[in-house]
Amino acid sequence: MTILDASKHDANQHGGQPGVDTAFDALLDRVRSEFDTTFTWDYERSRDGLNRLYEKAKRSQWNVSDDLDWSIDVDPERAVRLQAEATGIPAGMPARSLLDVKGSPVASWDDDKWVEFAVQAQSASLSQFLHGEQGALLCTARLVEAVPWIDAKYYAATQVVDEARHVEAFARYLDEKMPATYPINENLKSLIDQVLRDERWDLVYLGMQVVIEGLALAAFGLMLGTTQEPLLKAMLRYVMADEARHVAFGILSLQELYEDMDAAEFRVRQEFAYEACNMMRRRTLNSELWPSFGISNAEIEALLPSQESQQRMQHLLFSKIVPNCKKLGLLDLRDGWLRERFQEMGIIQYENWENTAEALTIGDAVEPILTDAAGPVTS
Amino acid sequence: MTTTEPMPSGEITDKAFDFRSYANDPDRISEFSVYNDDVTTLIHAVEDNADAIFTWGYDKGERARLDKLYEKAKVSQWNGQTDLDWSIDVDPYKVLSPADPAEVAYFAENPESPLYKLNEKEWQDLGVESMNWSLSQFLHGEQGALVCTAKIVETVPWIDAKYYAATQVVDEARHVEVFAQYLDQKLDGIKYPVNTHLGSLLDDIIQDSRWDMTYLGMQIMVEGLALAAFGFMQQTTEEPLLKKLLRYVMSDEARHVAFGVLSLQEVYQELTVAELRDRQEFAFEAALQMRDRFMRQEVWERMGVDVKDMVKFTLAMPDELRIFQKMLFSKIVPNCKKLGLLDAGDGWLRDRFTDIGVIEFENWVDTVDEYDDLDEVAKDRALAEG
Repeated sequence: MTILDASKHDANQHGGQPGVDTAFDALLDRVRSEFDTTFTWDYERSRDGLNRLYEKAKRSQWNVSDDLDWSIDVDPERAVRLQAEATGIPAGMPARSLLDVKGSPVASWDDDKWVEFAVQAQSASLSQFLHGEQGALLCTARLVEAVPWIDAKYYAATQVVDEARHVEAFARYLDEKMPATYPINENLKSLIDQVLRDERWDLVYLGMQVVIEGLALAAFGLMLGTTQEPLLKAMLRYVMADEARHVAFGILSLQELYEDMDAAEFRVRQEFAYEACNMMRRRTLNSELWPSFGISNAEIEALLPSQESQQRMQHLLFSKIVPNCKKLGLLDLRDGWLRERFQEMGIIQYENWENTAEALTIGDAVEPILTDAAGPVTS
Repeated sequence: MTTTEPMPSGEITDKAFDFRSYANDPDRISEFSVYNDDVTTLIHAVEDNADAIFTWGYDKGERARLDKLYEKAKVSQWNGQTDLDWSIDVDPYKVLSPADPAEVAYFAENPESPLYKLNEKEWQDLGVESMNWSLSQFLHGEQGALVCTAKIVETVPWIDAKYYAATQVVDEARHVEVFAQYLDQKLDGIKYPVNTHLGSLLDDIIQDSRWDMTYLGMQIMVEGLALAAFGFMQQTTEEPLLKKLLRYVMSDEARHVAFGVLSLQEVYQELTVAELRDRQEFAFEAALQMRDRFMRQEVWERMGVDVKDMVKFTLAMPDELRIFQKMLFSKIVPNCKKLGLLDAGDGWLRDRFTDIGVIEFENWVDTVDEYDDLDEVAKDRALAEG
């Protein structure tokens, strides 16, 4: 037995396929893939938008080891209490709204218990960010291989190293500053798997760059807007600056591709976008969290989705995805089929929010900081 | 023997097969229209069936040497647009690396040489063509490295390796960018499509679903050869833009090869003799393809020189003149030795490297020991900071 490839595919003419090591597999998760790697012999940098994004990405690199102050002590409980104080939102929201529900399994929880819960919920959120970033790392590497445009390969390459940095940052924060790391949420995992298994490279863009990263951008924004913890704040600002580029990359690329797409193919994308959003909506119920509090996910699924505060939070998470789908023409295709679905999900109100391709030219967390850091030269 | 008779693999006894003749078969080498049968297509697709792998072991630094390489890569990034002076004017006739006079004499003064009748102008043109050809192949090879490294990010199960490989992806994008820009702005464009031997090696690497084969093919063989070839060109060219471009690219390449050696050392420790033999054969096939690509078949075709005659004449070159051809292996052989590939299974690969006349490099410095010294980017920055 070796730690080598345990894939079930036929070995090629070089033969010799080492076997499966099940013990090692506990830490690994294989996604079977079949797709085409594409070489392009057209090296001309002809896509201006992607070109600008590539040049910008080169200048916006940062280093987890040096650019964040890891000496900051983090007391997760204290952070939760400070946040509740500062925002006026009690610890444990939106789940805490179940306190008022008759017969709810959390009816007896006191404030301390909610603080304990909120700390774990924060760990769970950060854990999903971490796993999602690894998914993004793999998906973006896939794009480098599969996309046929040289400008897109260049840009995607910078995103690969961005994603590695994000995995590094979240993993370190969880390891050094938080009490627990949770396994990947099944809905998130199944969406990433679906994207990696698909041979159509544009679905990687739609699933990862538009839906998963779009949701991440909103979720990071929510966390950044509420946490008082300085290290986390700095980290999220930096990560978000990268994510904004990533979403813009998805939009710029897909706009070009969708222009010439035939109706039947386009319709498949519309349905895929809806399915992906649905999976992401289910992930907000934090199914990996409740069992450790002795509460079954079935109970939570029966109660939490109808809570107004839960819905509000969930809706906000789609504030980036919806306008981007509009910009891509996905909302109104086929008599507005996706518009209707988003109406049912209660998220259509975001359709005219500022989209990421434009936002990118306005705000970028890293460059102003670097400019500041360079400062006026004094002798 | 011709290409219809492939190299045997695995169980066949070595005695029954003449590897030296196989390696030096001009029919096999010059049959090069197979890959690039249509040089006008802009897209080339290769099936990739390797599993993408998530790891839930996020402990950074578990593999300390890879972690060190990752941290080094982060601080060694450079920008193809701002760190090179693209305002430098280049005269294609003056970019040429002066060739070894003895080698030139072999081709120019021997009446049996297909190049015997070339006049002065044709020799100059040959030089310009060869430079364009070399840089075009470097360019295509870098694109191969870009997609192969992305594949490593997807398929390697170690978090430290995923991190490091991610930095290499962006390195490779930068290399494609600078070679493409140099050819486009300073020479007369990218005139040569990917060489058959290089292209089919890249395809083999991508099609293989075993992740360590991507490492062996790309990090050890293709990049190892590139490091040697860049070094040769870097030392001989007088053109300042190309010189600096190559110095910077080489700083990155040295890390890449070191990454391959460090990763495979761990993998190979656990392989059986039979599994190692697969790797040895893969390494030998790759070495041959890399050597064969330097026969510059496309250049001969463009110059109106008979390709097969030229391959034959090149293969007949006396050993003492083969300095450049051999130097190409000066990184690959010591790295294969460090990986234990030379001597595994009765030294099968040692015998093959002896067959093709490159075993003499086995005790040269390996790349794990020299990558720090090759960091020209860091040296320039230290100088600038005074």
